[in-house]
Amino acid sequence: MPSLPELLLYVFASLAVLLAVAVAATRRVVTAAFLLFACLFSVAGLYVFAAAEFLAVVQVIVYVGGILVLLLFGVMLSHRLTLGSDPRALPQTQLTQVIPALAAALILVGGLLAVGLPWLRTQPVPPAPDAQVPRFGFLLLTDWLVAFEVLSVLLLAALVGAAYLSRRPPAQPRAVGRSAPQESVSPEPFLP
Amino acid sequence: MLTQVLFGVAVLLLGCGVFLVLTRRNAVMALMGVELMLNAAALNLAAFNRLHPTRLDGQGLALFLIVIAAAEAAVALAIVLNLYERYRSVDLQDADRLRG
Repeated sequence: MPSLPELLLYVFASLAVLLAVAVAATRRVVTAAFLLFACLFSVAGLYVFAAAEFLAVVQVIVYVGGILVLLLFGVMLSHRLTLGSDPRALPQTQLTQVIPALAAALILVGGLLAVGLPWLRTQPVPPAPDAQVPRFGFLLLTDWLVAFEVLSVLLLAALVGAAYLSRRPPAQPRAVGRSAPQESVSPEPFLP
Repeated sequence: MLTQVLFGVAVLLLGCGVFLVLTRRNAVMALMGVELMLNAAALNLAAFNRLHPTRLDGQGLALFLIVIAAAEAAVALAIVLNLYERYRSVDLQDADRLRG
């Protein structure tokens, strides 16, 4: 009977893997989004085992609470498209596409595990260190300062870019004296 | 053994992400695959940092990776929105013209 920390490790690890496989297997977008939500929570639990407590909290706040919530908003606000009430409902994935993709994924996974796991067995594991957060704060302002500042600029650029890309197309102003009202900017006509 | 379990989980998450990106035609599902792959990479970095706890470089890189994933997810969703505005579907097979 393994000890409680080992048991928790196996529980979080198997939960993360099973949820990720479920995300890959399900056909519905909303289900996949919620399964991914739970999977990333389990990964946050795994970060604690890697002596990365700060990263675990960042994962929950930023990844789960930011990115996944954004994804869920996008999925649920656009459910008309993704749930097939669009006249051109999304066709199912064909078996001829699934088998090569599955083979590629299995070869990648098998190769990495075959190379990595025996090598990791030879590595000595040092004892778990103390609290990381003060060291993180110190390193962010000394060794990693350039990356920190560049990331701030990157986030600003992404913010401005996403806001610009998702703006409403501006309605054209009506010319004085025209009888018929002008249309606002219309989307590209669909391919014949 | 701990690092092996974490490495194994990271590799399996990577495999699921690769499968999602290669197979799905819905743009949002492909984006979920990309997020899974990014998470796998960050978890892998944190796991390998466990072997060398004197330096925090692995965890720092994982932190920066999470931040970059946030920026990328926001822009990718804006692009998916534009994809729908232009092609009236989120099927990746329909996005086949370079200039509208």
